Amino acid sequence: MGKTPTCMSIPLKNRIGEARNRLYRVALAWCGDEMLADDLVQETLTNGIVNIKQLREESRLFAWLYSILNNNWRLHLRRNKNHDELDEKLCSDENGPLGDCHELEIVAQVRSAVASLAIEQRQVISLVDLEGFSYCDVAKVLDIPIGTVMSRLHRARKNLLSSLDSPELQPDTGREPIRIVK
Amino acid sequence: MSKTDYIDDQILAAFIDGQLDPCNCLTVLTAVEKDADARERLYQMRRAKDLMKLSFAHLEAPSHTRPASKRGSLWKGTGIAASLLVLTLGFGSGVLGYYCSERLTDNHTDKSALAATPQIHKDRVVLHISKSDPRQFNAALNYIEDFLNKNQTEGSQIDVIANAGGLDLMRTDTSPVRQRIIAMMRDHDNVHFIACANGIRNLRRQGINPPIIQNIETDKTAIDHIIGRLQAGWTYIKVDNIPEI
Repeated sequence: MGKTPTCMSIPLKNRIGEARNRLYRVALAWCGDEMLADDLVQETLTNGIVNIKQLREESRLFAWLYSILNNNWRLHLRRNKNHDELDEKLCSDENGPLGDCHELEIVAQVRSAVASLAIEQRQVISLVDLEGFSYCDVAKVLDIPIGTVMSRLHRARKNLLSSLDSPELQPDTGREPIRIVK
Repeated sequence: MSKTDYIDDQILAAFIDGQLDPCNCLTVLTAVEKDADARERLYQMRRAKDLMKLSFAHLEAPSHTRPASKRGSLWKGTGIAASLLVLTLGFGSGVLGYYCSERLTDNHTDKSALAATPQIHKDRVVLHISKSDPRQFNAALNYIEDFLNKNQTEGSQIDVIANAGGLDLMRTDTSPVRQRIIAMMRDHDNVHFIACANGIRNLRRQGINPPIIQNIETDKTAIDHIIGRLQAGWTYIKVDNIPEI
């Protein structure tokens, strides 16, 4: 059998464990659906485990996993041609359990606003803001030019604020609207 | 402010994202001091970034398997001598990890990011099946029987985990080998069958409530279980890659 075994170091083991929640946060920002996000992350980790031999630099682990996540997300979108419908559903202003308190309503509004962004914008803003990736890393993960990263990020933030400030997303709480003072 | 002093939004974004060198940071700070419009735009970007971060902070992937305390011990346990994952080259074409212990000495020149001193348990195997293929079902059960015959010492164990199409192996309405599975579980304490909780959930989302053979575990996900077992030094084998197939 001409196979060479590959072994994973303990620190790498711990980082894989850490990766799950990080991937989940970004996957949720991308797809807006908890179950789908969980599926995507599990698929990503499975792919990562199976193809771990391809990882040449341990320091690139997360960027590499996000590339896999991106591939899986794209694959999902291709398989589900009705993803416009999904996006529509994700844009629902239904807050669910998050509507229980005012602060959590803001969280729900932001997540809803993120879900209303174009997919490409969602991907960039979540990698930069949630993961703290450099523009260069995001360009590599998503396989797009760095200029595209910057323009998508700019549009994403602009659209995010625009959605949040629109009257439709303001909760009818009977309280004073939150004002964030600089 | 002259037109040349104008700081565009992408530069401001790069500033708050830490993408500028110190010299350019100073340029931005100086410009923002003088320009109320730039200050407002900078604030709005910062606001978007903070809202984004705060709204997704502290989220954790759903746990499907163990209570948090047990889960934590699995990941953090320092007493586990074995490394997390032991993988042979080319998962798609080979048996994962099965021959690792014999071949470790051949692997010292491996330049991948993965180098460690794993302790592999050849008598503890997690067998993974993800395709609905009767040939693979039979091959899997043949492998299990062979394993059980060869490994009768205390502590030896084989876990069979099915997800996706592989769930058909463990469904009473689709499995052509259900009687063999039932007999194996009846006759051997060291063989465990697990039907992936996510796979079952996905079927339910499609309106299918899969009838799983009695006594097969259904509360774990494939990925959780496989990672946990690999972490503990178990040998992983994908049914696709059993040489006899």
